[in-house]
Amino acid sequence: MSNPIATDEPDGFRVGLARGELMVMSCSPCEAVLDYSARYCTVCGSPEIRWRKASGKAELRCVVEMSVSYTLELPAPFLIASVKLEEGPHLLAPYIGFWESAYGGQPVAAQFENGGFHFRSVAA
Amino acid sequence: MTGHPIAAITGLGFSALSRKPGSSVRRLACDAVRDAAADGGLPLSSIDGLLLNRSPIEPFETLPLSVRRDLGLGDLRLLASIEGEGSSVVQMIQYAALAIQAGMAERVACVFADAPITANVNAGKTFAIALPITGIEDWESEIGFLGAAPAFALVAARYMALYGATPEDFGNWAIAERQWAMLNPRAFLKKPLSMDDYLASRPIARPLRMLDCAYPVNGAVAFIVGKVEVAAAARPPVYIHGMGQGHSGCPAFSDHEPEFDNGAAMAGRIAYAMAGVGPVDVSSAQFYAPFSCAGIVALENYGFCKRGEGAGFVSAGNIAPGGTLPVNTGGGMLSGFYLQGATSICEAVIQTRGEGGQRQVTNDVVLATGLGGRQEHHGALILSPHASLT
Repeated sequence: MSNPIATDEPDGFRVGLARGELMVMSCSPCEAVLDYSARYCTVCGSPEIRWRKASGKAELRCVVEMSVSYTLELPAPFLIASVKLEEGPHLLAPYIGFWESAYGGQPVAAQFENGGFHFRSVAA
Repeated sequence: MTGHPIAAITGLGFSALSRKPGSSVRRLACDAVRDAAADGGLPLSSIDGLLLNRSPIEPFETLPLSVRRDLGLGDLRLLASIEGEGSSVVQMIQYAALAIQAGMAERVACVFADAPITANVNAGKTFAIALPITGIEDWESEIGFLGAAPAFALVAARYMALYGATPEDFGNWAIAERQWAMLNPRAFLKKPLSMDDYLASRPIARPLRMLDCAYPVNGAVAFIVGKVEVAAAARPPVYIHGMGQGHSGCPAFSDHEPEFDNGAAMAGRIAYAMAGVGPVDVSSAQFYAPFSCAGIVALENYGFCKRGEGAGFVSAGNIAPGGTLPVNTGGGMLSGFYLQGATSICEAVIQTRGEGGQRQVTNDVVLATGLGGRQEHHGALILSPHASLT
């Protein structure tokens, strides 16, 4: 188990990404995993939220192609997936693959490559 | 209170609507309020309340409370800027109606104004601001998920994944709105639209094409909300029989579907119950649908078909001229014009008054809706020319 991220670290998600780990929020007292917008535990009401490492396994919900470039840093086209993490939370993240062959329900996994983070389809 | 109206819309006014940069938002708002007061047949000075709605992506200063002074209004009994994202126009009318019913004010002007088209910046760029979806601060901008288009592309893509909708289903929504627009002198896009034209339009955020997206204009629309007793003398009256809101608490978690379970069904239920009507009684529906997929989801949430059946309902021709449920009879946001919440409500008022000309349909019960953010804020109104719905 890696070093825990301080419970009061609001940006624990990015701290995790920087060390190659996908994090989810969970309640310290009751250990429920929460969606990323939660600021209190939706099960027991506790404000003590901590970040914990996710498996990286997920189910693809759908994929959107960003077809128009709005910034120089991110030239279109590129893909963004909505995934349902094994632990429960939905997440939007870069997706490597083809828009045409992405389908809902497909198993995907978080990957850290060349300093970047994305999801990619994996064998069921 | 079922069967008895809450208040009435007694005036409707427009500024010039344009695709070219021109007047300030503030000036457009004043032009629309003056027009609405004149439409109501009473002097501007009789307005005793003013509610303002600027675009949620514009700073407060674009439409400050001092618009009151621009208009030369005297003491007001009600003055506020309402911010509920795209549901704000419905909300303004609801709060005005409640204030009138409670005796706080008698004649409240509600105005929306926006000028997204500016020199050297196209509307796509103006609206390319990241909407918070995940709950992770600034994450959407970091991954380039910019603008309303991808947020709604997510809705369309998820809808396709779950219910097998096709590009043609979304195309049929766009074509139906175009057919209505061709009957509306105020609509902006009136060239006949074929499925081939639709399919050939360029991708904005796949699966969304350009012709799935709203057509923004600069302009303002104002509504005067007044007492029921006064409306009886107005020709023709527009009674507010039902009002509801719904703000989604659906978490992005597990098997929840926040793209669809978004608060609209709650807004509809409350408004229908207040008016004592149901979807089967609705003569026409005027939806806030900035993208074709949002209209399809709205048909389901407001009870016109079951979850997953909205696309088929549209492709069967139900919402187009001559269909079983006329929808967005002014051409909607895709072919009429996009002025956020004002688009659907002004068409609802025009239809309720029977002033739709070539596009006029039966108008006993008109549903008008507002939608905000990435579909998590909703407002609904039930309007009728009849003082009693029983």
